[in-house]
Amino acid sequence: MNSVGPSLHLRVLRWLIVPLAMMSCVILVEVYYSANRTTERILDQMLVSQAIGILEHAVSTEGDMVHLNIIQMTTGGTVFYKVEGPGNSFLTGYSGLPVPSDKITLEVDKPYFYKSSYRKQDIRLVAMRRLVEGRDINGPVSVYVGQHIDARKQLVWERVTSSLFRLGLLIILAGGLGWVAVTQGLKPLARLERAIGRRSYDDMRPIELIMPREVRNVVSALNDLLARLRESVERRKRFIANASHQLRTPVASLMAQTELALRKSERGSSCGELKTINDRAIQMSHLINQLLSLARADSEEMVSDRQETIDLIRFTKQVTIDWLNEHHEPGIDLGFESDIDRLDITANEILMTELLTNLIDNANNYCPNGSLVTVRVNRDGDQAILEVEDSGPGIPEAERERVLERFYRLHEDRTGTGLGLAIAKEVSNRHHGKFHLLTPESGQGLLVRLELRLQQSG
Amino acid sequence: MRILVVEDNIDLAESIAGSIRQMEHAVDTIGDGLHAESMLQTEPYDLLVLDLNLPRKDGLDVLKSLREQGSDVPVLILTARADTQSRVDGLDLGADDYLTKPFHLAELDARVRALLRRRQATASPVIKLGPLDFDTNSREAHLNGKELLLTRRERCVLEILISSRTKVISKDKIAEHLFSFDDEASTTAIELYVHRLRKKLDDPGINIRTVRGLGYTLEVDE
Repeated sequence: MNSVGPSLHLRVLRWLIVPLAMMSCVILVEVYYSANRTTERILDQMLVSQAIGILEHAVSTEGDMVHLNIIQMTTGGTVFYKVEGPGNSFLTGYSGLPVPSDKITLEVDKPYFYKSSYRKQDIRLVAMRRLVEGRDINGPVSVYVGQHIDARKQLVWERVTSSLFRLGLLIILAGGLGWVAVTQGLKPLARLERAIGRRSYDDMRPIELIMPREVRNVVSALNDLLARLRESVERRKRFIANASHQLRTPVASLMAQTELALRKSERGSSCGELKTINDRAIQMSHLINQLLSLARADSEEMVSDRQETIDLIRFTKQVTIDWLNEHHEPGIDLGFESDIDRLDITANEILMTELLTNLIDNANNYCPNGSLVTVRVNRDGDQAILEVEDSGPGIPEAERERVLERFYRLHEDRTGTGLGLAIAKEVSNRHHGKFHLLTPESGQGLLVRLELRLQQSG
Repeated sequence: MRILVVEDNIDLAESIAGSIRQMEHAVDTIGDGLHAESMLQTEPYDLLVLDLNLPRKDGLDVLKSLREQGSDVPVLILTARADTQSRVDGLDLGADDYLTKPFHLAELDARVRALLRRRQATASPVIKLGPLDFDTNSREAHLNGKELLLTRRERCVLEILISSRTKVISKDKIAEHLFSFDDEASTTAIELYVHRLRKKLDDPGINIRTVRGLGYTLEVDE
């Protein structure tokens, strides 16, 4: 039942972050290569222009050292150079700077780039040859200018790390936005969940929530199911109500005939059997009445449509008097108690009548003749308390949970139907009341208490 | 007395008729509304026991046309519908009492007896309740033939108790009848009047029983 699939959040994050990370790797590789190319091209050009500068300086000063600060102003770190006059005679610079191999013939005014190492460090060099026609120097002059490769690598890495930083930021941002988007996207589902959670188990009206297009199908499928459920439940309730109606007349006839027969054969031999038939007919009539009660309490429109303000005191008195007037010589001493004159509650009058009538019937069925039964109404803060207390045999504490189940009976031999308390509990539920079975203060009998909120706040 | 029982379930109709015959009244039984209507037009009945669910013509319609023709015959409704609405409809249309199926024959007998007594009271103004005779015209009460000396208020209380017969009548109802708007309606005063009445109604055949917290009922040995 409670199987949990992978989280939608994680699923969306996976779909967002994995491709993004893969794409970032490709971008980083590309950034690395292009940074490498660009740096090389730019720095090489700079090397060339430096080489030209150095050469011209050396020629014009006839071999003076170039001021290092002039050279170092240019990008790319320390610059090493060497100038050779015609016939490869050393003119100025770092004499140990490596030159290209002998196989390479330097052409005039065409830079030649090569790699080598100098003072145990990799360097990138350019070699250039120029024809100089001057008084002192006349002929081809070669210049070699080199720069540490580390400096270049550093430049490239700066580019790559800054890209890495930006891409990382992008991924984190995308993940965060994805998370928020999923949370936001799931909000309608959370609303749906709350709406379903708030429902009572038998509220089968369609769900009326404005839902995004993607969830609408889920809701309409749910509503479809609810509608089918509602129809089947209503059909069942109608059947019970109809069956109860149809049963009343034959049972009335059975009761009347056996009663009449009993009267005629007061001392006849069949008296015992007749009495049994009559008792069973009476029991059956109780059952029919209560099934009808239950069908009515189950009927959903009963509560939602017909809530009204009733004065619980006046109402309770009237129901108790009605009960007394409908029962010829009851076996119980039924009375009413209250400390207050008026107590308004919001309730369904028909269902409350079922509740109280059933509680009194119950006391009447289970208490020995002459038992005291008291209907009591009081107020406790914002609660209306309706109690029916009897001095009968009571219900053992261990059984109190079970007697609220339909058709559960403590003693099979009694005439009760096992529905009275279940009906009362059902009506209590319908009014969001609290229903308790307690022991009266005297320690003897049963105290049924219903607590109802006085004001439905809001 | 002549009574008409209109009930389409033959067994039930026969049982009701049998029970009423034991009270030594003449009974006719009929199973459909239309037939019942024509019987009611030709025969002088003193009481009508009327089922609501009838073939050919509904019980409520029979009752309605009966009252429209100006008949004041007492009507006891039998109904399989327990809901308050059909009850109220029946009483609004002029029914005098109702019984919900299934019922005890003893209960039916009591209702029939009460309705017939009321019928008699219109003919002769004296209501007999066990040892008590009450003249509804002169408002005089006799206990075992001896006139009871009652104050105005005591007489009022007794009258209300008699008018509701063996049913429970609430203190509120008694107060409504007893006190005008100017008087202060006090339940202790009612208790006092009832206490005095009880003393005067000194006979085991009649008793004003207190229903705890609710009111009083007249208990009569018949």
